Amino acid sequence: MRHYLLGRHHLTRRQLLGAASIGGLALLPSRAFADTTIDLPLPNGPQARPITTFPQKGAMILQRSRPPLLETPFEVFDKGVFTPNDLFFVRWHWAVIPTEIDVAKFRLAVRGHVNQALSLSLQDILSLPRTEIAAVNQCSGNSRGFFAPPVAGAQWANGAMGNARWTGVRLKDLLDRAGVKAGAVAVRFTGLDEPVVDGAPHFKKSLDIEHAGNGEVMLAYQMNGEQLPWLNGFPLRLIVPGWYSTYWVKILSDIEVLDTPDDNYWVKTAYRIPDTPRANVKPDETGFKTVPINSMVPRSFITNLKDGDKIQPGAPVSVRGIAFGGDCGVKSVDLSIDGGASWKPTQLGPDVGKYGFRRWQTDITAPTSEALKLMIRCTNTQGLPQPLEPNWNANGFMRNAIETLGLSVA
Amino acid sequence: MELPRFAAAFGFVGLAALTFVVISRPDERDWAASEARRAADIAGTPAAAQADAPAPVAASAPASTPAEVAGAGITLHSVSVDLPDRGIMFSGPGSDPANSNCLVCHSAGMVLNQPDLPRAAWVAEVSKMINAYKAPVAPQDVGAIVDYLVSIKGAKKS
Repeated sequence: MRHYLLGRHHLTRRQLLGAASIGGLALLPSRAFADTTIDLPLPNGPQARPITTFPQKGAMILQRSRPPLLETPFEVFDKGVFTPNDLFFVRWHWAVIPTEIDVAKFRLAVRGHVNQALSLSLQDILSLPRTEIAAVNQCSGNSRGFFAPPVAGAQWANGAMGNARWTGVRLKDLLDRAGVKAGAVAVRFTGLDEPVVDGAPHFKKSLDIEHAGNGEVMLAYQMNGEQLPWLNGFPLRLIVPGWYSTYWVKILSDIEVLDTPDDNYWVKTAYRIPDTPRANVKPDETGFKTVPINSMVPRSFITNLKDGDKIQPGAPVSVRGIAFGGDCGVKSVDLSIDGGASWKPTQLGPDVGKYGFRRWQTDITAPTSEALKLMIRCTNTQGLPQPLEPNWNANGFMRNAIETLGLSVA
Repeated sequence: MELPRFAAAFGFVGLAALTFVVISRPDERDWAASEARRAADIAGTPAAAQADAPAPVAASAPASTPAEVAGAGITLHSVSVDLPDRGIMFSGPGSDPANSNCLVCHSAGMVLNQPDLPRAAWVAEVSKMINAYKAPVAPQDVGAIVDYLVSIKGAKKS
């Protein structure tokens, strides 16, 4: 695993160079801004993206620099079951992100419908009982770039996801310390990022009180054994295992227990899905109810081959990749080479936890002629398989159709 | 936080300056001041009611503070970053209102990476920017912005 550009090194370099540069271009190491581009396999819209580096990040796919939208190059997922911190995807809503975090001054507030409001320092938080969980963090709109007909929004390929080991404290322990009063219905989370324009809705998300206190929802101060990259929410972020990343509030600084349902924009209007199976509707459909996006659904990917790769006729081919169950573990990952008529189970790799990636692999023999189409399908431990056909909704959320990959036999 | 509208009139230079101001204002990003405001918000309770919690940090000039904190075997180090901005602008006929309005909140990549969309979808997007996200777009610019977006990313009707 690569470990360059950790926080401590970054501070030292900035102190040495002073505040001379505004844009920061001159401060970055020479391997940055190689200005290569790659093409994402998106059927609609621009495919070319620059490869760039940002503070504490390696070579990432740049979609938007302000506020940053950085995608993980897909080959990273072939290298291991955990996604390195410096290649983990990045997604911010608002551009006013504090560029200096002083760990001694940072405070986390726990307040609202509680017996006793808290103001905790990082030292307090580090000293609380520690917990750790492996969990996939996936953007609600991961794979939105594949929607047809296309929809507006961040145009991700499949790289707006990652698996990490999250270390920190249980939200339940903080809530118990503050003492949740009877009548509490929800907990709302706010970070330190702010809108540029006065009056725009500050990014806040909330969870039902039962969910918040379930012992799995936690606040992380480490990711894969290191402090969080600044771009992934240093010093503290919320971890909601099995739920989409919109809830995983970054630079978490305020936890407010509510006695009425949260009606802020980001719950009431944004991040809502059709209340239909698989959040699937027809493009011109109207009149359906919506609910806040919530649990993830199973997905699987081939990581060692690309669409269009050539294989030799009759040759053995090793096929491998990753899968996750969504809000529970992986029961099976099955491969079809006959267009979905039959499915063969693959061998699953070590289980790092029900909310994490699971590696899988299998061997096939290439046909002697004709192209070969691979289809990979995950079924989770609740028995939910990936569907054959992709879903559609106007926000481009929750894509999880069976992935296919074409190989040419030559 | 006032949005200086003169920045729009000065075009790119103004935008660059505005970007620097809103992203890199150390005084606005002062932790102690924000925390003092939040502490005051905690249901108006005085510090005495929070018996177990450390007192909220006061909004005074800090003495030299350590760059790290540690607890139970884990150390966290203070961080300071500069974010790159490629400064990419919209171009071509009709791009002026897009440059002076849209780049206030996000860089051009947000728009330039979108697929082609029907006019109605672009109208909806611009409306969302104004109504939900409070984009300070002058009424006379709205139509021109939609026209520009349709000119660069308008889907033909099928």
